[in-house]
Amino acid sequence: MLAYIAKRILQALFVLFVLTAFVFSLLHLSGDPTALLLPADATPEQIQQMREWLGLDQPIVVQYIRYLARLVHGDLGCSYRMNLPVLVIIREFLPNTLLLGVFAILFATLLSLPLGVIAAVKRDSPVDFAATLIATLGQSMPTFWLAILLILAFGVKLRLLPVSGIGGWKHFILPIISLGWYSTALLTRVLRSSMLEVLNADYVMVARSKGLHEASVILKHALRNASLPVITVWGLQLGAVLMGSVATETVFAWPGIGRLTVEAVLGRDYPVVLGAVLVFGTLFVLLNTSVDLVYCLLDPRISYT
Amino acid sequence: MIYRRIVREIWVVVLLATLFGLWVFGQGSGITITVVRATDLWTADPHNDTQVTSQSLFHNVFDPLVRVDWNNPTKPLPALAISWEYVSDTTVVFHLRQGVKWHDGRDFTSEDVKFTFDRVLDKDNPTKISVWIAPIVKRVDIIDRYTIKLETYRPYAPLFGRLEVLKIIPKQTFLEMGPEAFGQKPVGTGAYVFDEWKKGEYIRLVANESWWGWTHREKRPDVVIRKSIPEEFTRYAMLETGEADIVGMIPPERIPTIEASGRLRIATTPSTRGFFVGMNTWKPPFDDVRVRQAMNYAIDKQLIVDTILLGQATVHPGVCSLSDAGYCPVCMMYEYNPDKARQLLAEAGYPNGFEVTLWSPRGKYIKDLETAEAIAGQLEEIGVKVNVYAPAWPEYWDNFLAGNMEMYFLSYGGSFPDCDDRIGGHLDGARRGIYYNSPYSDALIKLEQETLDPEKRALIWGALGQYFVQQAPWIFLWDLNLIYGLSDKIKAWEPVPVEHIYYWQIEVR
Repeated sequence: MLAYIAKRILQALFVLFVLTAFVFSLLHLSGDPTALLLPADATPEQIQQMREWLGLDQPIVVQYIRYLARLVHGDLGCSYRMNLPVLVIIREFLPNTLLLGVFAILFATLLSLPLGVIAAVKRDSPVDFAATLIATLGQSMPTFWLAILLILAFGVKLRLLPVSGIGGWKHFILPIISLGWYSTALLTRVLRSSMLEVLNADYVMVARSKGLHEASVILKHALRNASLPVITVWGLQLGAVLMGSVATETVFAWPGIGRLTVEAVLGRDYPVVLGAVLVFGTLFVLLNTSVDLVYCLLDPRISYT
Repeated sequence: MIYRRIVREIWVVVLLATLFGLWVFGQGSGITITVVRATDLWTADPHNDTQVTSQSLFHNVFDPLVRVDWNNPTKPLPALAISWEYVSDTTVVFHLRQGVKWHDGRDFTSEDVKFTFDRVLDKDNPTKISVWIAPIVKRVDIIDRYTIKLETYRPYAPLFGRLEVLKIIPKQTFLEMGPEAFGQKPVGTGAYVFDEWKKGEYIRLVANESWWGWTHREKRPDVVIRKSIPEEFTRYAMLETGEADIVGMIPPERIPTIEASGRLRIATTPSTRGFFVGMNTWKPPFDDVRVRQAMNYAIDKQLIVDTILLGQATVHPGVCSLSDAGYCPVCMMYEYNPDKARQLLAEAGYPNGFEVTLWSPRGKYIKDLETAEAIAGQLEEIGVKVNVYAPAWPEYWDNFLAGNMEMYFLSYGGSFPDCDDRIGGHLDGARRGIYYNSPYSDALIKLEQETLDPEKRALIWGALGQYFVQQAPWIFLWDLNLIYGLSDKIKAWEPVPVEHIYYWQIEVR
């Protein structure tokens, strides 16, 4: 197991290296940030002077090697716009995104678990219909649109919840629903179909014929086996929630890394974009590795020795 | 005996403290307001963030030497300088305000002014605002503790407008804090103290009771919370739910809803944000002045303003905004005349029109893409097939600077009301006339810059304005109105023609 973990860490480092190289090239292909940093009436000479000062006049390879050299020492560079070390900026914004992400996935899990199971067990019942409706709506509605609808309903019309920013617990409700809704829909759908498959399996029939209580049959025998594909999707959803934070944080003005990244991309703040990509990449790799390891715990047939 | 004495002294202390408290808090309104803008500060270092909404906030924390009088653009108002005189065409002596304190309690002196200028004039460590100051100001010298001498490279009429954008920073505090820390919690002399910045959430400003410029202090907000909300609908929702008191960038179609609420209201003003369609005058077909004039005759500007911008813009002739020094009231306005446009196209050798790509920003300005599409539609009526291309702003701007555009829909917006500021980035060969410049207009621009007498300068601007109208390097369009939504907490506030909000002018209830 330890050898497997070590191998995954090495793989992760390689993935992150390739990721930085790819994003670095992509950013530089997208254009020069200097003109966006200066007032619109800056002359070509003034733009060139700022370019030299930022070191952007150097060949891209030189810039990348310098970036890597700093990265090895834990220095992610300094934001062109905010004049602050990227590490400081990320440290300020990342916890808010993680907090929102954790609650969103918790919301999705807690809602989809009973909904998926009951929908499968009570097939073609009103609960099944509701679950299918949630799954269809949740997967077809863009996050930003749902966010606007939530603001309109619970903020503007009903005046029940605040519509922006981070503050007390009330500020969390709408962003969590907005961010977790897509995952809720997906997890409900996958769990329902997985449960339907398992409920017809022989071992469930055997469990029932042994006279076990129905709840025990569903929760101990069916759900455990049905959860394997759900865990795979759940793991992917952790990453998807990070990606979804971009739209949610923008609409709800949530001070997270998703909104920070959007603004950095639009302003071509290369160091911040690279820093955010590194953070997202690392989180994604970590989550995937964790999910792989969880398989071992759930399914004795899987082993990484 | 001792016990009674102690009790008496405690009473005296309590009484004094109460009186002091009443004196301190009795000056303010006790009101906190929340101001919402679309964009966030990059940094609170006033020399390294030139976004207009950031400069707006800096005006409340810092003071420049002089401020703009929006009712009279040729006459600056005293700020940290109380008076000034030209000792030659290129040298101005400024007499500084005495008794001004920085927010950390230090005295403001000429050392601070010199330090500020030296910082932005340093070629080895350019700040972002250096772009506006370094080409003009040569040096600043201290005459005494409250007098400085400023030398320009050449006579420069819009000098005072330029000086308004430069906020004076405290030498000693800045050196002690360093640029990074100063950019997070700056110290100014302005009406509001920069109290707290929770990044991505809010900036908290608290009234500076010892500010020199207060009028009716008791009517002004004690605390201003400044938030940046990029999504338009969220900004509007915040106004509706009472989470915001002043909201900028309200789109015209929201005005009826806001006004119908009874609790909220709208404040608008014509602005210095002018719009135009530029043409690449170096290449056919726009190298022919008749084609450019035909484009101007083909556009029904008022129709677009009425239907797309719902009347929230002011059509005007020429290159300058209505509030600019240099605005040309006698310039000819191209009327909507498609027949004349077709005739001019035929004379220029394009009886069947031509095909062209119109670049437009997308989502940068209110209704930008819709406006560009309406312009394209009207040009089609005279036989010009227009393909609208609306990339994200970075791609748009790269291509603008590279001179790759045939035709482009764009806006200019300056931070002070002088037409020289508008045309610099577009029509002046000495600065950056990428798509148009001419020896004649360049010479006139140099002359208006170097003519310090406002009346003579106005005459030059008259000639220059009419020349530009005749040359038609742009399709001249309109100035957009600035639209703000106000909550019932705001009793009175008049917006200025630039996107600045001076918190010390807001009257609260």
